[in-house]
Amino acid sequence: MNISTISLLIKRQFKENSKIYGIGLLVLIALLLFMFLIVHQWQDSFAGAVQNGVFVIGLFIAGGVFTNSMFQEFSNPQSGIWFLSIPATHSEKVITSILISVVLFLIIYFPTFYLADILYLLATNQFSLETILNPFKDGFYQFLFFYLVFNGIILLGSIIFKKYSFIKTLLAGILVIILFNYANTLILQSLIPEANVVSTTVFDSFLFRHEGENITVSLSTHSDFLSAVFVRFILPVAIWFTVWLKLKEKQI
Amino acid sequence: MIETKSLSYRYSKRVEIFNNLNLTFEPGKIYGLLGKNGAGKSTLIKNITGMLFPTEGTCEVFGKTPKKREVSFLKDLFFVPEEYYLPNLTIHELIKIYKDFYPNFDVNQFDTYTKEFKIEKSKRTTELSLGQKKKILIGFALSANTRVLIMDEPTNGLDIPSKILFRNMINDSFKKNRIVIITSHQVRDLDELIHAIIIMNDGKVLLNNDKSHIAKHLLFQLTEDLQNSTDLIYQEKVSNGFASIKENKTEDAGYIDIELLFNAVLTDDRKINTILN
Repeated sequence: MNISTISLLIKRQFKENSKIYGIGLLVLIALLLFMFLIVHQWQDSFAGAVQNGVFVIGLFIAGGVFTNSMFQEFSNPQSGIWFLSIPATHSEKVITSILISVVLFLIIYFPTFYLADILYLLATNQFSLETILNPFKDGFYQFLFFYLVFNGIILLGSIIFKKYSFIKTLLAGILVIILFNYANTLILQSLIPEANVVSTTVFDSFLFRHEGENITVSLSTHSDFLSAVFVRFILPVAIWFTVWLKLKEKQI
Repeated sequence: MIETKSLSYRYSKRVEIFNNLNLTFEPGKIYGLLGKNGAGKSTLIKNITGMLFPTEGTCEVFGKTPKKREVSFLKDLFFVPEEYYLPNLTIHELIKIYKDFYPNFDVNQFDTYTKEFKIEKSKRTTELSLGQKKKILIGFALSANTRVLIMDEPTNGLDIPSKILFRNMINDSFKKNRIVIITSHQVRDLDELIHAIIIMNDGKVLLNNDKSHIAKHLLFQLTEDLQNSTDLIYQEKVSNGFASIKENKTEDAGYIDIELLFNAVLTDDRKINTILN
């Protein structure tokens, strides 16, 4: 792995897409302000942590679109050949895409969100240091770990699918989540046939109904810790590793 | 050296492009890889450049396996595909960013080409015509000074003066340690440029010889009337008479009409190969 090659790849990505990234940033600010406007307009319908909601929606929409552009060269064979021919290892290309779409994206996303958040608070006369979103309150920052998994899935989709990769990846992802949840419920139902399983969350907990009462069963502390490590660290790394494998196998 | 051993490529179980292909490309030569559309030329060079992986057999480029796409391999090979891509940058930015990927890139050499092409370096690639884009890409490919240069139909989209310029550029930049492979179905474009001819058809190599060897053993003639000589290998009507190929029984090496040779090989390659091999 060569640091100077990675910095060259980063430079290349920004130089070639500087215009679209500039426009994208303006769109992001507009999107965040629009979402704040909507929740303010219909504030009775959006009770609760609206800033958290806007943060998460903005993160996943903007982050998804941006991440999908990391391997946009594969959308046509000519640019795909150009990209694969760049003298850099597959790992350098994957690490560059992760650095840009995770680290650099978050470095830009946070100030952009806070800019929109402060504008919203100022416009609605709610501005104070306490009203600004605190990502560390109630473990909200945990969403960032889900962003890592999401990032890996989008990168993987942009290598696998040639056309409309973002939409296809989202559809495939939703399908996998539904299947996972369905399979999870089936397994639980077969393990505890007497329980009436209401809902399940993979790697976390399930809810069943017993004698008219809803009972939540969570993982033991030790298992919960292992599950958290798996979902937050092992899963994204495993998906990024799959991205590397798919890039190695890519043929045009 | 580029060497393919028992190389086979199939797009699917039913669609086989070539089977058991054994070829060697030596440094110090410009190869003309000729064939009709769909002969398997592009698939072969995509296997050599690591864009496609062989279904069976092996391919090695200076001891490296193309499918691994190692950095040392990519730094030493430049591929100009038939349908090409240039990133949306100014030519100046293109060089500034990409020159560092190629250790032997010569900026002065590239500047000379842009002057010859009369293209300003401040122009964006999106502002260039298709022909200008191709010239820039070919200029970049030559300035990268890689040991292997592969160009798929490079003369497509070039006007006549540009084709001449292209030939001069290849000749001037050619070095003894270099392998250049140029594919074309417009065989006349490669006349006077190439050192060796490989003719492919339906995934098979029908002819693979140096031009000097061909010129020594085959005699190309243009006559006003149809010939009935028994030593005739191939004959066809052309606009100004009849072009024919015979065995060259003299000591002198004559000219080669590549187009005629191409047609003769596609008609019956055994006759030609019996004399050449």
